[in-house]
Amino acid sequence: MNMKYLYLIPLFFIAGALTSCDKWLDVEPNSQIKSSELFETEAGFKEALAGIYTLMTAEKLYGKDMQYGMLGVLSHEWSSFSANYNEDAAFEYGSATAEGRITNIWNGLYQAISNTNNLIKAIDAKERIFKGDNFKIIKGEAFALRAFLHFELVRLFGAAPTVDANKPAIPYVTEYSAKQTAQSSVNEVYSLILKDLQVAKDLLQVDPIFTGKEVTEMDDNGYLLNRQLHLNYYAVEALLARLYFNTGSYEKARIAANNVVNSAKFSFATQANMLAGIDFTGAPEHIFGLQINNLHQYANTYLSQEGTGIFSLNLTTLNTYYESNTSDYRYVYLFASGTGVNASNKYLRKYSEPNTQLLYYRNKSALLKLSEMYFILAGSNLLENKSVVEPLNKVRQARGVSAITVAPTDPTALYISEFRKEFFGEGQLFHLYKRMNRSAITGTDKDLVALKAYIFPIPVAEYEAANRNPNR
Amino acid sequence: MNNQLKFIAKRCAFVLTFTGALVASRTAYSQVQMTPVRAIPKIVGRVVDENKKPIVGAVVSVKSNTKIATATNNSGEFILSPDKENEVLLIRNMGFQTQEIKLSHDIKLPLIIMLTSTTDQIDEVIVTGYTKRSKESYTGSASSFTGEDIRRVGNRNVLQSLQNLDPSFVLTENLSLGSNPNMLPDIQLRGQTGLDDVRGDFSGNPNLPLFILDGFEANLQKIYDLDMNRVASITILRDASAKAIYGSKAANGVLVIETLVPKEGKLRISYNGNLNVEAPDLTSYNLTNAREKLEVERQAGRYTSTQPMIQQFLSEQYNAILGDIARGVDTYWLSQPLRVGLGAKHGLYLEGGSADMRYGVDLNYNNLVGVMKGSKRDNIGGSVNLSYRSGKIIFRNILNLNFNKSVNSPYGTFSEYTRLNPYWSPTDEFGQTKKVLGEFRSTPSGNPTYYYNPLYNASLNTKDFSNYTEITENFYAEWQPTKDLRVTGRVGFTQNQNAAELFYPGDHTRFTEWTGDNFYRRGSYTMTDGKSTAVSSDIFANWTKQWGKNIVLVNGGGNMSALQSETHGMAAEGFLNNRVDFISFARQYALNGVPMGSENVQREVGILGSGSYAYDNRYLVDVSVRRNASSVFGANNRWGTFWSVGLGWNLHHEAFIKKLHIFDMLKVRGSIGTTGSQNFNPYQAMATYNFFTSSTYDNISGAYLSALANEDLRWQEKVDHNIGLDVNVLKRLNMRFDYYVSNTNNLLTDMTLPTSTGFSTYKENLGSLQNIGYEGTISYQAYRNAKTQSYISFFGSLAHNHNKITKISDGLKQLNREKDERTDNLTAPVIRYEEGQSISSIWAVPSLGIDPATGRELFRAKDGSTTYIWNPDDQVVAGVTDPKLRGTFGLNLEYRGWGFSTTFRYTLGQDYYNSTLVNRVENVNIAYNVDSRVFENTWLEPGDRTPFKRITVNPSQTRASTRFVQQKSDLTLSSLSAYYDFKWKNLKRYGLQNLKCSFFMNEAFVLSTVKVERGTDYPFARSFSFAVQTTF
Repeated sequence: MNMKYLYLIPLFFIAGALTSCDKWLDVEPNSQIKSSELFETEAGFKEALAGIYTLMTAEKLYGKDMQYGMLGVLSHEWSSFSANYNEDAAFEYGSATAEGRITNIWNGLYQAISNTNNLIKAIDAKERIFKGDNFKIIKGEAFALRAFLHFELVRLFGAAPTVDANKPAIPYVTEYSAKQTAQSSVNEVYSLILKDLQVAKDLLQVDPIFTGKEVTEMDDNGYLLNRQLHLNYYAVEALLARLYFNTGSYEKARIAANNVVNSAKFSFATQANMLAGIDFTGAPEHIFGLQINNLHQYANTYLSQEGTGIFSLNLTTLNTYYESNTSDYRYVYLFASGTGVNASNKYLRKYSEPNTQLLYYRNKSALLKLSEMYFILAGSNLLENKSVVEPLNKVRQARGVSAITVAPTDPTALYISEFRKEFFGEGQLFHLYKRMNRSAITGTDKDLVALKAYIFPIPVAEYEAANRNPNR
Repeated sequence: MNNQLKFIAKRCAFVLTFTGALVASRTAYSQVQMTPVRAIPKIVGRVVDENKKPIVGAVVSVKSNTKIATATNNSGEFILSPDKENEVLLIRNMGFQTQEIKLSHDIKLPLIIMLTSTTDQIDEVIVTGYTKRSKESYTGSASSFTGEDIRRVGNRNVLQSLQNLDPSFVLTENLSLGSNPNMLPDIQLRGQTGLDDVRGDFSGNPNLPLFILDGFEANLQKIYDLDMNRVASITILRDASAKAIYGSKAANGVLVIETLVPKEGKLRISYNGNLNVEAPDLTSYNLTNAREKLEVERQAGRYTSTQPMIQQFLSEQYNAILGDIARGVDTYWLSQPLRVGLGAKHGLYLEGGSADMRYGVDLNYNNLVGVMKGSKRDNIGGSVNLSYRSGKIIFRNILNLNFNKSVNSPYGTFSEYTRLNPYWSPTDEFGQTKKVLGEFRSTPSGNPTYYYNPLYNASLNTKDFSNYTEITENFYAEWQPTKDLRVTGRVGFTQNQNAAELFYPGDHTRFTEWTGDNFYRRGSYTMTDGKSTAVSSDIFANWTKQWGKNIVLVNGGGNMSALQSETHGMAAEGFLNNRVDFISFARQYALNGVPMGSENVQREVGILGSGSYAYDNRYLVDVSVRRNASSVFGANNRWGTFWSVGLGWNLHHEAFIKKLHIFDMLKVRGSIGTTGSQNFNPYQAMATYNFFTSSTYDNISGAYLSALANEDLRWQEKVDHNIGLDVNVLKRLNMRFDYYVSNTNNLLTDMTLPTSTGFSTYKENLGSLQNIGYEGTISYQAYRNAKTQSYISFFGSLAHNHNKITKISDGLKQLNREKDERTDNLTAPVIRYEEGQSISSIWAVPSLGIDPATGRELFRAKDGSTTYIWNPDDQVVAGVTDPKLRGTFGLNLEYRGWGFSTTFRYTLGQDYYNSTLVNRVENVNIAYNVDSRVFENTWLEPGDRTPFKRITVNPSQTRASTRFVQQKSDLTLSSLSAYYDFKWKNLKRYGLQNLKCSFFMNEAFVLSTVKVERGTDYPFARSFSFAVQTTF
């Protein structure tokens, strides 16, 4: 061999080294996982998705403040709550405490959105790594999540579409990036939500909850077993019902709501289970509910007499809400009496630890439930001056209350009263008041419309950094 | 996954090594073929200068056929094979007179050829880490110091000595940690290039220069613990022309440190012994004595009440203390935790060998003893240095091992003692150390406040130490196929294993308030351990060509390196028994604790080309380009290009200057170029997920994005402009002057994001900073006598640096706001960043002094009005902490073996926020001891015109006020040494080759225009040492 060519070997290696360098420089940390590495496997997508749901379970979001905490205080359903919610109760959104909570909600929901967007960005390139229908289901859920999270934001930070659909609201963010997204009007946000929901609905046609395909523990470790914990096909349908109802498309709302109701996939909690203290949140009625690991612990802290910063009702108020109707399961089973000096207080048991080890009933909090569909049907009727009685009776009877037989003199008052009974401690009453744009509500003498209480101000950091238009 | 990673890393790291090996084997081949056996002997020799120092790169050729030539290696050695007998050898080197040597049969080999220099300057060599350059032909701003220089101005560590030698190299004074032997110094070279680490973005000090030890990157700790006696030379590379070859890491300057290369010959043993004495320097403390202290308390109204019952009760407490004082209690607490530290340092060095095979073995032990009782730092280390030459190939290997143990004092921090009241006695009547020194109640029914004795803690089995073991293996291969070309390959490997433990037993005073359920949690133990591994390798080729008046030098190659580190730890609690001090006696893990850990992987590759051209040794050009990629940069910005151009003009070679016969050196030089700094968090540029560890969702543990990635993230880029002048007059007066303007662009800062992106901030390269400065050194040899080896020389230096923020990001504006709204540490001024201002600005509200009528401070608001209210919006720049001028001066002299040298360090016109006055005079908590200035200068009653507010029972909080900004100028006697060298005596009869006895004094005194407490958490020390150096 000619010695001259030996020189070429080192050159060859240097060339080789430099070309493979970019890969070598792409280090993979051990203490955290790179996005690109996580999305190498189906399990990674499942973990990222579970992460988004977990982000939503934070105390500042659905763990407390977006359920019975801040939103409960804003609808004045509690008779007593911790003093650091006093400014919230007076709708002083500029105060440090209320502003902090509003900022947390905004930041928390957008953090979840940003995680969702990163998942959506990665998923299409990896379609081949998914087993069975998982690609469509996970992608569908991600689109549904993005729609759901923006829907929650626009419900809080945007004007009600029936009040001012053209008011600037929130940015509809579809990218994981530092780029700022333009602010959309209420109308635009709703149509973007609709778009994402339709994508989700198409993809979720394969959802076993919809197809009825049987799933066991043996299939993919039972991944598709607990569809109620995910934004499933019917959750998308229910969101569509909510969206149409909010935007005044009552006929479409009815169709969507009926699709959920008539699917017969969801049923009301039984009296036996409520009596036995097994099912407080109504697990079989959840169209979509979160599994909140600390739910019972939070309930011990905030919803029992042993805790601190407690939310409670007094006996009189509770009696007013439920008309002292001892046949109403909710009145009978969902509230506990205080003892000693707290004897006249009533504590919500909805989120307390149930008397069962079955995970199906534990740590669950409903974000979309069956009765809301009936209230959408009733509400659509109400707003078109039709009878609200029939759908409301469905709920009343399921809760052990006798059916209404005489047409109510004030159907709106009836609707609100029934709504409060059903959604107590779930944060929905505030949204109802907002949709109705009521200036006066039970429990406070403030004028909510004059105070612009129905629209949260965009947090300062967002407002300044992105030069947003006023949303209120 | 991980294994695959490691595999790729290994493969890549070995490619270069393998390349080197191939080159080596290729030469081994050629060796066999190209050296046929001849009758004409090979000529082996060594080229040295007048001081017997080797000359590197001297060209040795046969006069009749200059194609037969070689160049000397790093040790000045060469081998030449003439093709005929009785040839004449020609030895040439720039700056030296060319010499001819006639060869003959009986000539004695190896030849020792001494070249005489054309000027005195030329033996100065700039070691860039890749090549050695003669200083005369170099256009960069660099300073070289020999091991001798370093050792003459101090014997603590190389960093301390460098600060006495080079005005641009500054160890920032740490008034809190003083002379703590376990505190690594903070270094700045030509000022600050980055913003302070305000949010933990940097993985270290953003201003830290790059250290290159024997060709490989080393960390600060390694340099701090480096045995000074091993150092052969240190070169500081300051401007772009000098440092651009280090690319993205060189923005803060580069220190190139070379260790000794063993000399050939018979076995020589050198011993170096030091006895060090460290004495605490408490002159800056000015505290009250027992009687004065009680009086301060009385004046402040601590024992006064309007209610007779309470007054009676307070008087009883007052009288009790007064009684103690009368009995003679007046404890000088400052001395309680202190001692005179006695340490020792020993070094043993063995070297020898033949021209082909040389060895050096070094053993050292350094026991650094601090002035706080129990605090020390021990280093035991050794290294083996082997070099082997076979024909045109030289191999060199350095294996180094170091064991370190750092122990912190069980006495806690010094500030715990400076605040104790002198009327408390540390022991009870039986001589036992008290746990509670005293108590105070403001009302008979009130809860007592207890004051605990930190000395009590020292009697317990506390533990606070860390240790590490470091092994470094460096391998070098050099191949010189032709006289003009030299190829060098290097592989370095360093592994560091470290551990730290911190244990407080349950009886420690910090747990006294833990009662009830927490009682059983008393006592805490934290253990951490870590490991880091660095591998780097490079391969370089040097090519030199000289024809006519032209000299060209070209250098090119590539390098690769990988660094991996991780730490883990755990914390436990519940140690109720004072006798146990092992973690397994813990009752439980720390409350809600989980194991701790962190890890970090960094990799980088680079290619480099540099060249220089000189015409007639008059006109000089240096250029360099480096392409550099690192894993810490964003994926879209992996590769960076760094370049430099330097020009120089050796005026002293021009005829019109030569004519004057004054200048032996007169060079003007200028350079421009870019470098980068990348001391930031290694995973900052990546989108990474973390996992929820304590919750699951539908049986899956969820993952969430940890931050918003910036795939465009890159190095901070520094553009340096430098002009300089080197002067030597009549071989006596030496001067260097540099002026520079450096712009750091792409500063890594937080950028505020609209939170609708899901995150509130992210890292961006935004903002820029400008440093302008000048520096100069001068030395003058007043007397010289070669025969008696006597001389006197004086030296001085000065440096000035000023920085200015030229552009700022919104994130920093947000940060300013956050700082203004902070609720802790209110009395210190904050670092705020504003365009056009220096980052070393002191921000404070203009003060009009203390209102004599009310005793409250009056401020001037932004609109000019007078107010009692401190408003952060009124803050102005009250001064800049960078001194107007800093530098050193001193003298060196030697006469017939007696030597003396001294170095003073000075700073002039530095603005200073006197926190001693704020915290120890004005905002004093009178429950504790105070500065005696509270006596004279505090407001007592209306009409008093005083500089300080009234002292009250509850400490006040003085926010940043211009009242405390003072002008500070310091003079420090940083080093003084005297020695006697027995070279004039006949030592041979004692079996010694040389002997030198020295005395050193470091940081002997500090004179300052401002009175502050220096060394609040750990006192400063004066150090004295006696040293003996000898060779057998």
